[in-house]
Amino acid sequence: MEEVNKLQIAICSNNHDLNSQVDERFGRCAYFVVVDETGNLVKAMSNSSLNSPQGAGIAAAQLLINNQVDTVLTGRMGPKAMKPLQAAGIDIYTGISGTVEQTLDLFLKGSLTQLETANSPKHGGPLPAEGRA
Amino acid sequence: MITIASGKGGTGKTTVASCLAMSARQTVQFLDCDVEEPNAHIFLKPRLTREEAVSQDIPNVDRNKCSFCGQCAEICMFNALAVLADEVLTFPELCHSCGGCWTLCPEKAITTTRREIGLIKSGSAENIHFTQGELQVGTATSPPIIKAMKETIQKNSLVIIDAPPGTSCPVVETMEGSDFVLLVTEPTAMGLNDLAIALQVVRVLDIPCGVIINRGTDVYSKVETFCRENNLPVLMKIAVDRAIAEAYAMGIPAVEAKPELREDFRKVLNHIKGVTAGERTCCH
Ligand code: SF4
Ligand code: SF4
Repeated sequence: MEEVNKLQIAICSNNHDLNSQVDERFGRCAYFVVVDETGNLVKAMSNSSLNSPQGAGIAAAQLLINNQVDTVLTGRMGPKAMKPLQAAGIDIYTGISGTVEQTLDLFLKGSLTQLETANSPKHGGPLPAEGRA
Repeated sequence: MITIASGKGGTGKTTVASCLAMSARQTVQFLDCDVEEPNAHIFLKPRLTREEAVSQDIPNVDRNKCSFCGQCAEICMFNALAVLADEVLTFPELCHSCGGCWTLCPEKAITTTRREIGLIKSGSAENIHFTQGELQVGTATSPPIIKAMKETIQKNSLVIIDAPPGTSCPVVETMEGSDFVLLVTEPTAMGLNDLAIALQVVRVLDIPCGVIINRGTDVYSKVETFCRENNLPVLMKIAVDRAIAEAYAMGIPAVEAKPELREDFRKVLNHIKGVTAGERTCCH
């Protein structure tokens, strides 16, 4: 049960292990890799809302909330995803790059920026916007 | 009831819809269902005399009754709810009023409130009874407005509907119940691609259909080949024409710039009437 006291850090990624490349998109990344501050892999959760036509960020936030994550490391996040995360007291940091492991290092060194307001003003759907008449 | 649609915007769908309405020798009910960007009024120039608000039901959570079980967020296909340890957040602009959350809530903690999502404006211009829907900015759901517009349809009148561009759910909502779908396309590779997708939707809905090729030149013939192979009648080809393009830019419909086109559009209407009366076979 010692895991419970360690910080649960979710990192947006395109795969499920420590060597996976990170993905800057919060709502539309393929996996959230959860690690603790000592660098242990806790678990990887696949982002089932990845292809939602709308509100993928909200559903992804719900997934992290349900899994008692403390901190999320991402690249971009819209206001809709931010609202439930902030309300749940989850810290959000931006500026991820490289692999999951490298990103955790950046975070532990204090190189990532804490996000207080959304830095992705509008979410996009999974498809490019249609041209209009 | 004829719906004018196209797999993407910019093919001249609104031009075709307006010209058909203006060429008809009878009273026409015209619905502009492109609620995100209604623009048929530019050509038809109706006098809009009536305005009606459309609203939808959205969930309202009673925090005193809620047990924060999370089931509402789980069932919502549209991600319009998020349940925290001691709070339920709602995102009304994403809600499609499916009723899932308030039907399911085990604590009966969800009631409904109304939220205004847009307006229906109507009026007339010569032989045309005109209606257009306008979606409020920031609202995700146009089907309720389209549905409300279609409720104004009078039985036994000729109804021409300008559909939203694309092939997503508002388009399906618009096409549903139509007797005929007229697909407008351009003779380009992109146009063909979008036409093929739009045709799939129409075939699923099982509605007779035909095609109008806009800005046609003989350079690209694949669209016509595609139509032939798919048993899809090409009802009209509108040639590239400087006079039409210039008139369009000034909001003048093609049939006013080139009155001889009216006869061609009437032929299209007659063909459609024939098909819907079961006298002719179409794409089935
Ligand atoms: S389903 Fe009802 S009780 Fe459960 S979280 Fe939603 S509102 Fe609360
Ligand atoms: S009514 Fe349907 S779409 Fe709206 S919040 Fe409830 S479940 Fe989601």
